[in-house]
Amino acid sequence: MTTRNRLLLQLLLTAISLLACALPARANLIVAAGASVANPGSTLNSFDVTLTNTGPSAATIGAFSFGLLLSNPDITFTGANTSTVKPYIFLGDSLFGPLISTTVGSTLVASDVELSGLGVTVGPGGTVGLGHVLFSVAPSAAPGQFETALSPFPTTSLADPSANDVPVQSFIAGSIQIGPASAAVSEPSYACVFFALLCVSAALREKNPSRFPRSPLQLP
Amino acid sequence: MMNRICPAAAFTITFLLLSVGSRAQCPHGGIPTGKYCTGPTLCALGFKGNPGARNPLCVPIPGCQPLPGQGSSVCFGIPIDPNDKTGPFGVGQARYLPANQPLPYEIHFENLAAATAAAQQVIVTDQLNAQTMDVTTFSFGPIWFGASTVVPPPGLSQYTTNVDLRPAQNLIVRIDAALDKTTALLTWRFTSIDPATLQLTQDAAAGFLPPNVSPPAGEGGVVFNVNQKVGLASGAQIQNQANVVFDKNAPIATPVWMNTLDVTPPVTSMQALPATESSTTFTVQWSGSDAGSGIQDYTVYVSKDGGSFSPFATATTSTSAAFTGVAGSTYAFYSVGRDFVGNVESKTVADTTTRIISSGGDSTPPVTTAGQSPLPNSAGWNNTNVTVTLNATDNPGGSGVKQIQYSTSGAQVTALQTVSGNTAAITITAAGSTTVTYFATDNAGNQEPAKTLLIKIDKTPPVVSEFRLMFGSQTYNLIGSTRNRLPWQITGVQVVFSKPIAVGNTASAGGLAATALSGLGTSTLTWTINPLSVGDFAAALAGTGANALLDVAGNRLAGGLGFTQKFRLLFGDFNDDGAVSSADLVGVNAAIAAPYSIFADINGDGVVNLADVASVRTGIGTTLP
Repeated sequence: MTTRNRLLLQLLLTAISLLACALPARANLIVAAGASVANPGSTLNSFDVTLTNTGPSAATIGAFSFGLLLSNPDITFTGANTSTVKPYIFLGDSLFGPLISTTVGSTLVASDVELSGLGVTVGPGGTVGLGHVLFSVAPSAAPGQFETALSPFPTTSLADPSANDVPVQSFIAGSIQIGPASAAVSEPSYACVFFALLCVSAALREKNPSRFPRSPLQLP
Repeated sequence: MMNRICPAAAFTITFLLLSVGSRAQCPHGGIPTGKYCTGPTLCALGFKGNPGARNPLCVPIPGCQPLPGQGSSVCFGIPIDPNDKTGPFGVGQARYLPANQPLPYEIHFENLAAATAAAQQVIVTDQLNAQTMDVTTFSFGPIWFGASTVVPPPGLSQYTTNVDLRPAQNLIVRIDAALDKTTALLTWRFTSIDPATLQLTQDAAAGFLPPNVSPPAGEGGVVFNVNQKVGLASGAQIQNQANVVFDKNAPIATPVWMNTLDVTPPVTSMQALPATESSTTFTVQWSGSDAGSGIQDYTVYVSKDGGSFSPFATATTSTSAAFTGVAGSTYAFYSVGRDFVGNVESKTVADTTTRIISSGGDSTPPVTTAGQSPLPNSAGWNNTNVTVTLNATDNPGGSGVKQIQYSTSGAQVTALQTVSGNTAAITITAAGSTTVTYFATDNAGNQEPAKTLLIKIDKTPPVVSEFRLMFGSQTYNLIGSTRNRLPWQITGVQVVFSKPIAVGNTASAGGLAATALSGLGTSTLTWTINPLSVGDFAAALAGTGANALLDVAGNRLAGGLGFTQKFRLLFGDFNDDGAVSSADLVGVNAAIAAPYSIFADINGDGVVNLADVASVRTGIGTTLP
């Protein structure tokens, strides 16, 4: 699937979901880590972390951060940059890009700030890239599928241009498949992502959350 | 007063008042009576003359005016009142008498020259006071009239005799004298007897006592002696008064003669002498008092080196004298007083003692050492009141320390004080620096050069006035801050005290694991610590124990209470929400263009810039544990 087709499909699905769900007039932001397939001993493997607004209202973002956790010690994050498949959220207006990672290794933390201070608006149904994550796999790595979990707030966070936290409704973990090349799926299955987003949206609609969930370690 | 015989021979008695003109000044105990003086029958002590009933040889009282017509024959001890009563002269106005002194009295009468007839019969009575007079000791004295005198034998209480005036005058004068021991009434009766009838003469012109135209032809008198009652107390008054009757005239009372007893000796003492005298000649002084007749004189006794006492000044009226002794000897003195009636003080114990030290060989001043309690700390300070003790010592064989003098200046001001002896103590209570200046003087007058002792007292404990967290090149004072979490990585603690801190160490700031301390001796101490970024902390500045923070005087921090400062760190938490997130990135980034905010100066370099945003990035995801 070409990039253009992926964009069209994403826009279509977003519009359909907005019409079907008739959510309240507010943003519904989802941060998701993509999936990737890699072979043992490989480097420069990658996947994207994206931000999708499934709500009916636009969200203006002035800065973001995200964190990823690995459960397999044979996989190592080596960096994150702004070369996302989806348009990078602060494309052309990045304070720290193109390299936005600050912590690499078994975990990865990346962040960036919109340079102008006005923020970037993510409209309903819109998806933007937050970072293109690079990783390597140890030659001795065993085959299998391993989750790449997104760290909760405050490691993964959004902020508006006024330095207010912007709630993230959902964090969707990604996965890394280590194994034979024939079994690899090099890009995320957008159909799977779509249905997953629909399920999450439905669940959130039922719960009607009023505030952003916080880390249990966070101070009052 | 004076009896005047009327020309009609009726013995009319009139009174001649003598209180005209200025009053006489009467020395030697003479008694002013108008402008004349009268005195006792007996001559006063020290006066010449026979203390008989009538003594023209007595020396006139200087300054007294003579009675008209009597010239200088008016004598001390001779009554001038023709009807008068005299007794023991005594001392002073109160006529003080000592105990057991006999009481001689004389009663005098006169037929004045102006009278026109002679007195035929004269009766003198005198009521003795048995409470004050011992009548068993009574004795008649001479009886006289005109040129005739009879002296009764001693020891009689009744006496009768005749005086034959013939041929000069055809009369016999019968004298009857008696003491009624029951009533203590004395009576003398003079009767002019006609030798022919042996009865009272019937010749109106005859009489044994003619007008006193040619004295003493018209005068007469009687004398008696009696002793005081034994055991009378000081202040007891002895009075006596007589009555005189001329023929059929009414009795004329004489003045009352009164004496006061003084049986109490004076009380005297020597003025205290110093323990030592530096000169072989020095002045001794004494004084005293007497409740009665007054002190007549003193006798001062001296004893050398514990020997017997001997008079140094005898019967002197002076109250001081120079005494010369021998160096190295000790002299003791006491005084004995005698009053005017002869009472003598009884004393055998020294009133005062002094030692004469060598005056010529001591030219060395004493040496005074000063000590203080408590001792100061190693920096020379005390944090409590200080007692300074001065001890002076004279050179061996010297005259000895006479006194210590001191003064204080500075925080505590005291004028020059003199303390006798060789020790003195001063309490310094004032905070600050007080200089004690002191020196001693020996009995030879040698004075040492003044010395000083500096006392420094500081009782005020230090307290914390600022507690600063150090980050980068910046500091932030927590005292008064309401911030919950601080967004920096601190590398030290800087504490400002109310006064310099002299003692402390890295462990004095508990809870911080300090690695170094600087600033001792100043009011600002800095503890360097391993960087702290996240967590709850409590810095405990020690006020007690081995690590206590002390000022230079040893006062403990907050009086021993110490000081504790709690704080929380969350590096990068610009917005103080307890989490480092992208909101802090935006906040710090926005602060770049805003006025300087210390909370956005994450790296503490004094400016807010991208480096601070980048600093926040490094803390993304952090929360307090």
